[in-house]
Formats: sequence, C-alpha cells, structure tokens
Amino acid sequence: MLKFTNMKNNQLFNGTLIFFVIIIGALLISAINKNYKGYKISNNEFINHFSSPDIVINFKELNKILQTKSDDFLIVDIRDENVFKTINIPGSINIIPEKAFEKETIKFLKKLNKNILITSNSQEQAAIYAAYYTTIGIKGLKVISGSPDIYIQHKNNPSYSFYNSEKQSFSYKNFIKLEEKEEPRDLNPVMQRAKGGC
Amino acid sequence: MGPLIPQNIISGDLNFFFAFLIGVAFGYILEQAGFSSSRKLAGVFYGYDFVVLKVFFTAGITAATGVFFFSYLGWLDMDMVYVNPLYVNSAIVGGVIMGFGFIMGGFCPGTGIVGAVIGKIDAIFFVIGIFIGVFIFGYFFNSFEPVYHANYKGSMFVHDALGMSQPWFLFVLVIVAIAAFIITQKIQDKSTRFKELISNTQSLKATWPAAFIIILAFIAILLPKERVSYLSEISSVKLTEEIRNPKRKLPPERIAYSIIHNLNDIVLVDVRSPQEYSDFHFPGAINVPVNQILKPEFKDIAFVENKKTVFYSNGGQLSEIAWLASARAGKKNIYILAGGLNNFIKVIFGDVPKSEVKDIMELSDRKFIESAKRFFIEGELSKRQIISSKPLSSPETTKKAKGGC
Repeated sequence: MLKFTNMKNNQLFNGTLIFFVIIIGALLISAINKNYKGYKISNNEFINHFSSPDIVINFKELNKILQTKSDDFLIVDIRDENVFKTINIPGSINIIPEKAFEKETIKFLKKLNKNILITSNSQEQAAIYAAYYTTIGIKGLKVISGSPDIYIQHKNNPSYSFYNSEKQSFSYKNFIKLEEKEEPRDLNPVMQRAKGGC
Repeated sequence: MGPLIPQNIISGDLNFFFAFLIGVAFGYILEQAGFSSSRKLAGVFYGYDFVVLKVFFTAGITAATGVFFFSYLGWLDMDMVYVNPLYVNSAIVGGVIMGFGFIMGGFCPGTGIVGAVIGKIDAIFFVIGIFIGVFIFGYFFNSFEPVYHANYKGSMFVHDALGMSQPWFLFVLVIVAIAAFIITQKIQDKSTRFKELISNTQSLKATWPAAFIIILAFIAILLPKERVSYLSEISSVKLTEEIRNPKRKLPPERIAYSIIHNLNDIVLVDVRSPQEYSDFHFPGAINVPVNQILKPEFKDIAFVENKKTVFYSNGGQLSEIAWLASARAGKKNIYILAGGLNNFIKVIFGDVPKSEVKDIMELSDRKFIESAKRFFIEGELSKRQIISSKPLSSPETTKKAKGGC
C-alpha cells in the first residue's frame, strides 16, 4: 500500500509534472481558442462600454460634425441600396446589410482610422451593427440617433436636437394598467454556491 | 463549466454520493500521511516534525494554483464558489481556541475523526469533546451572538485585503510555502526529539516539483488581466448568423399574446435602470440593468430552461446590447421586443388604419390588437372577457393548413 511518508522521488516528480503539463496545455489551447473566436475585447468590457449613453450621437452633434466637414468622421449607413439612394445623410457611405459582416467590409472599417458613425433603418438596428464591430476590435464607433429618415425630416427642428429613440416616448403606465399579481419575487436572489471547508 | 453542482452538471442528489467518496478519500489520505497520530500532529508546535505544515501548505498551493488557472481558463466560475464571510472577532477567538485545542488534544477536527475511526482512544475522547463543545456553543449561542457577528467584513479575499493582485498573491504564497518547507526541514533535521517517530520519513528531493509550481505561479503574473474570450462563448462568425436571424426579434403582438393568455412561456427582462423599472414595467418582468446582464446572480432568473428570455428597453437599443452580450456568452433562447416599449405602445395603441381589410389574417390581427388594447388599458377588469383571437401574422403562431387523407 502506498505510504505517503515513503513516497519516492519519482512519484512526486511525476505527479507535479502531470499537473504542470495540464495547466500549460490548457493555456495553449485557450490561446488558440482566443484567435478562433475572433473577439478583441472581453464581453464585460464591451457591455460596460456600450451601455453608456455617450455611445449615441444626437442631431445637434451630427449637424455640427456635418458643418465642419471634418475628415475625422465617417458616416456609415447600413441599409438597402435603393433606400439609401432615396434618403441619406450628406457625406455618408452605404454598406448593404448583406455585406455588413463580410470580411472585406470589416477590413475596410478597421483600416479607416476614423470615428465611425453608424446609422441604419432604426437606432436599434444601428446599435447592433456598432456593437458587433466593437467586439471584433473596430474602435471609435458611435450610433446616430433615430434613422436617416428621421434626421432628414427634423435636422433643423430644435425640439429634435436631442432626439434619441431609446428615450421614453410615452407614459407607459397610462396605457398599460395591469397590476403585478404574481407572488412577491425576490429581486436579489442568493445564488446557490459551492461551499467548502474543513 | 464548474463548480459542478451549482451549475447543475452534477445533480443535487448525486452531490451526497460524491461528498461521501471525497470524504473517504480525504480520510484515507490523512491517515496515510500519518495524521491519525497526535504526536506527529503536535510535532509542528514542538519543532520535531513538520509534516502537517508540509501537507497542508502543499495542498494549499496546489489548490490555489489550480483554482487560479481553472478560473482564468473559464473552467471554473469563481463567482459561484462560496467564500466564507469574515467575522474578525470570531476568527480571532476561534483561531486561539483551535490552536490551544490542537496542542493540548493533538488533533484538529478532521484528523481527530480519522484517529477515532482507527480506534485511538485519545482521538475518541477528542471527538466527544468536539460534540460537547458544539452543544455548549449551540445552547449558549444567543449570549455569544453579539461577539460572533461583530466586525463583519463580508466575503473577502486575502489578496484584496493586502491590496495585491490575485496572481501576485499566488506567486508570493508559493515562494513563502517553499521557503517554509526548506526552513522547517532544517529545523526538523536538527531536532533530537522523537527521532524514532520520524526515522522512516525520507527527505524527498523536491527541487523539480518546486520549480514547476514556481514557474506556474510566475506565468500567472505574466498573463493578461482579463481574458478576451471564454470557452463557453460562441465565435464571432456564429454571432453574425444569430444577429441575422429575424426570429430573434419578437413583435409586440407576440409579447401581448403571451401576457394576455398568461402563457408563462417567456421571461421578460427589463434592461433599463432600476428607476425606469420602478416607474413602469410589464407585469412579471424582472429588472436586470444592461451592464449587469452577465452577472452570475441573474443567471438563473433571467435565463430559464424551456422559456424564452425577452429583453426589452424603451427603444430597443439597450435590449440589443443585452442580447448581443448574452448571445456571445452562449445563452440560448434569447429574444428582444422589437422596437422596445415605445413600439409596443405604438402598435397596440396606435391608430387603426382606416383602409379596408384585405384578408382574414389582417382582420384577425386587427381584432387581436383591438382586444389587447382593451385588455391593457382596462387592467384586470377585462380579463374575464378574454380574447380568443390570435395574431395570425405573428411568426411564432402562424400555422399552415395541413392536408392529406
């Protein structure tokens, strides 16, 4: 029977070597995986960055950028070509939705080295494109509030200067009067955790 | 992946079976390490045998290295691992009592049980003492309670308390452990007491094993602070496929239908701020602000098996962000309310088109919206007149006529 007090040198060596090889091997596998998944920022970093209201650029700020004709900015409009041709923000370029995630598009956006302002059929749609591009390493992205249609319609309307379709447009409780009738819910649940100790 | 039981990889029932196996293995190892002998255990305090220190410190640095790397590699979710909360006063008083008990009794609780099981009389008395102590503590707990709960510091880590990063603490711990092994071995070699007890203990050559652990701890310091991707995440290419799928956006009618008919098939997750949530939220919705969507405490309530998780915000932008982060994290069955609450109000309460109804589907949709409007605006009163109509055009509910004989 194995007596730990009589453990041989090679047993100790082998045991530690196995532990060492497992950890180093796993680190190498994980390094390969990292490249395979194609993200450049962690999910936590992404969500902290993108849940900030600063990510949205309003019409007032957009007007200012358009007036200065700054080369530091590029407006990227991701909508169908015919829709883009009908209405668009001056100076914007069009990427059709089918090509939005293609390698060439991503390569092009990465090389731009400009502040990219994304717009689409809706602010929500623009946000998902901008969010995806951010996760794969394109920097300096912002979302234009609303859509090109809303911008063109209201670009000179002062009450639309700070328009943001993520803002509350209605007093919801005036419409939906259902009462919470569920049993009280614990909103701060205590997780089931692994416990240990001796 | 881990911890295995809270993640439901091993069921709660099997938990006891594994606990039993681990208990048997732990007892066996303690006995084989010679820890059923009180003289061997007490040797650490008298300076003639440091095997206790070596065994426990080795276990400590091995586990610390393993936990660090497993957590780093995404195999172990450290947020789900229970960390004993620190009550400073209790820890000091308990530590002193334990220290005295260890020297006087020659056992600590675990080794006491091992000794008692193999029939050591002193260990049997030690275990009886433990139970008497537990009984006294339990009986007089009310009097002890203020001291017991005083100076509460929550679940804290040593590296946080020292203001060190976790990998640096691991590295220092490994170095301290190895230094302690070398120093204690020298003290033990010089000691003349109980030579007969330790004569069969060979001094192992542990240069290489020590080097392996030091190298691992050093690698830990060099690793970037946060990993970019985890094993559980889907690839960016797969993510684009998910984004393109139009079914991930549920129309307002679909959500209305589920609420009206109390289908209980969706978990509504309000990703706005707590203030906005308290001002208004859908009945039964839970509030998980968008930047907390990946927090482990919401894992089980926001993502429920066999239910659709539907994120909603005012306009749909925040819910898209929550959706993207969750989809990337590998969550399944996740949706957003298309256009958010603003669109919900527009669709359900907007003006009914005055144009003529084209077909039966449109008529059905209009009827549904009409009744949904009544349901939401009249509150619970209208529940009795519940609508049987379905929005036919909803992608989730459209059924094709089947034929055949």
